[in-house]
Amino acid sequence: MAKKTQVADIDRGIYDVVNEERHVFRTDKGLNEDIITSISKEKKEPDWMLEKRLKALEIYKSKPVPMWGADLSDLDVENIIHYVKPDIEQQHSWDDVPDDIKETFERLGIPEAERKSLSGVGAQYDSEVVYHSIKQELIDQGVVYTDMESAVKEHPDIVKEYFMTLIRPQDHKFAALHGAVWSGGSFVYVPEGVHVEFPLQSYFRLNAKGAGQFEHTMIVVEKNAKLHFIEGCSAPKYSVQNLHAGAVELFVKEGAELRYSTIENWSRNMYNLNTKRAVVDARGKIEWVSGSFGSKISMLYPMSILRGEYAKSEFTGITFAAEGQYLDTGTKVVHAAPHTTSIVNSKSISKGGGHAFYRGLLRAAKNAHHVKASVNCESLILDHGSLSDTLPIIEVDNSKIDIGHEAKIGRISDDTIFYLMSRGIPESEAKAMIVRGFVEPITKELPLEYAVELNNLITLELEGVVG
Amino acid sequence: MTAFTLEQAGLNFKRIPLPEEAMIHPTKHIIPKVKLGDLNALVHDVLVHPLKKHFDRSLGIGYDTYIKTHKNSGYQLWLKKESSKQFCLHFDQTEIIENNTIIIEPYVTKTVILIYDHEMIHHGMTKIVVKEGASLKLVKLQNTSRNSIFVDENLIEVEENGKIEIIDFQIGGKRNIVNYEVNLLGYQAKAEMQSAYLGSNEDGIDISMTVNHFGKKSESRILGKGVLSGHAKKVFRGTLEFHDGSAQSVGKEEEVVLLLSDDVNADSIPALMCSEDDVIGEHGASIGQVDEEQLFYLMSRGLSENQSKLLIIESAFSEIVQAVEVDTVKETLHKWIEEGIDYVV
Repeated sequence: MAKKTQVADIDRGIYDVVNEERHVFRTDKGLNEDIITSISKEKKEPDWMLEKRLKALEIYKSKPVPMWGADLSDLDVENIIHYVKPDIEQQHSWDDVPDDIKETFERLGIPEAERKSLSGVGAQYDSEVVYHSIKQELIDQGVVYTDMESAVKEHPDIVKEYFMTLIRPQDHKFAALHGAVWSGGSFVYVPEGVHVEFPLQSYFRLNAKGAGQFEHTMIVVEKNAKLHFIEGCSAPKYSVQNLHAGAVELFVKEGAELRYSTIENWSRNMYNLNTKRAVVDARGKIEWVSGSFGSKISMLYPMSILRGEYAKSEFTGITFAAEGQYLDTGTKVVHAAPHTTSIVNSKSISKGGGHAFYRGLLRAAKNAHHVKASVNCESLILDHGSLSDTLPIIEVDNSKIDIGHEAKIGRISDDTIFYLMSRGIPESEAKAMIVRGFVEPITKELPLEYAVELNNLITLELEGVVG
Repeated sequence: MTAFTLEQAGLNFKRIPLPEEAMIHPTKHIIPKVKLGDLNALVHDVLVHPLKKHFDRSLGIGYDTYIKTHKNSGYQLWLKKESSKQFCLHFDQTEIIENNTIIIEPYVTKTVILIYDHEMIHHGMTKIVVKEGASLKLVKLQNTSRNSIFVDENLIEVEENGKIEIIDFQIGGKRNIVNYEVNLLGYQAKAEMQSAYLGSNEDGIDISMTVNHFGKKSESRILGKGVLSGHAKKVFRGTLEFHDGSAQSVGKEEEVVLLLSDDVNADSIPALMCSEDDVIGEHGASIGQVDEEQLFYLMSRGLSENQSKLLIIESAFSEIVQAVEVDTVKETLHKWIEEGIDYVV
């Protein structure tokens, strides 16, 4: 019997610290018109937003739960608290943030990262953003980085133009739910030609038990502008379900570039049903970097709509499914204009009975001639009882295209190990090298601290056969 | 964790539905003609062989019942050592609903060739058991008229060290719904499936090839090659599923599609489902036009554009044609493909 490689779980210590719940306002469990109206009233929103919310609620009620993918029968939306307002007003200086909340974010390394390498930071605690800051020189250049609520009030023109136009409540049940109860999230506006040199980061922390987080992130990158945005999420573990149904709408204009990195490390009682979409105009580029490590169930498929000529999309994703996790992730790319290109690079690892599912869609519309696309997905199963599935769907509606697709599931090939051993590298080290090499294309795209964490994880106790 | 149902896995969508007008209820019984081989091999009564495992990617129980109730034809082949090496069955009726069984005895190697070129409506259900160490090559050639409807389902079980080789050609027909599902039950059981199709005009082609690995060290390969023109629509589903216990199995799937018109609709749904850690599964797809450099080279040698395209497509299929191995059948096939490509180009 071959020895199996042991890869330890991610140390969740820092993520699982629970703070005492202090809030000034929380809705009852469940969902109805009164709850929606009270959320809107609490937020002092304009009427048009309340109307949108109520309409979304109606759609939510009429939509069925999706029949495919994860088993959502245990998810009881009636038991979720949809809005929890923490006992704090939004601050612009860390010193003013209450100690326990400040400590939480400090443990997660957010303020430290801000000092070192970021242009701006947003921190959301439960349903509201508690801290937001942005470098002065960016403000001078006209960059807006604020929470979504302020944006609704301060930039109604932009918000009205884009809000929930890319992700409509009609799209699916959880998009409708989001439309009804959304709260918090970030709003970024980068004016024409501005290059934001350092990344902006938003961190979402859900502390309240049995609550849902429904942040709405909207980013508009104007012509020839450039931005890197990092999103991080975590929550402490409770025995009851938590729900995350956020929405991310990205608008990349002509010649603009946007890189959107996500590190998701929700606790293992979380239902992560997030929707992310980007629409890219001519010569624009969207880059997704996506790491899925946490949550009990994830269904997450960031979508790129390439609607301008020569638009580009790149997706780099890694999914790590451990015990009790079902992570159904992937990406959708729609080529809706000529000469558009896309690259998908996805890796998944499953262990300890975890289930990783890659589900992707690549679509070339009728007018999208001279499209080039390549999809590459690889999965590694580390032990017996773990599951891994791959389902990359390709739909082609015209002939002038060049689409390639490759996928691989399996263990490490003996030939590779033999080759490395013949060069004098001991077996165990050879295997560690191969696994590290397997995730390397992804780790090099991750922000440094996450890359280090992932590498540590793989180095741990690597011996015997990975297979 | 348990495996998914079809719906949960999201695999059962985009099915081209069975056309209403195809659900006929014929009364007259038809006996197929046998060209190569002897009639003694057709056994009409004994074989109601229960398949051991459930086939969950099939066209469904409803279709099974339809075939059983309305069948007007069928062959029951019990292939033993002493029977002929090859059988070639040929139907010349216009409406057929057949319910077939093929059992191949242990350590026997045979080839069965089925030719369909007359039907307007064809329904077929073939259940095949490949016993220990046996090897069966099943060749299905379909070149019915351009308005015909061809629905065919094949459920296959392979026991220890057994091998099934499938060659499927879909040349004619306006609706082709073809479903192959192989359960590799035994140790070192093998499946090799090759499918070639031509689609033109308003054709709808829905081909599913599934291999379920249950046995240890089982091997499979799926190859799909097709050419589409006009407003043709096709869905090719290649599924490799590694079940618990299929350690050290290897599966490979490949699809190559050539598109000749901007109005085609080509969907590929490759799936790798894996609940065993010690296996290797691979799939690849390549979708595109005829390579321009190849075309240029041939045209520079004096061939016309159409002639060059014809040559390129023909060579794409030749790998699968060569695998048929029986010369007389290869010749027929060559002729059909040439006509078919001519029409498509």
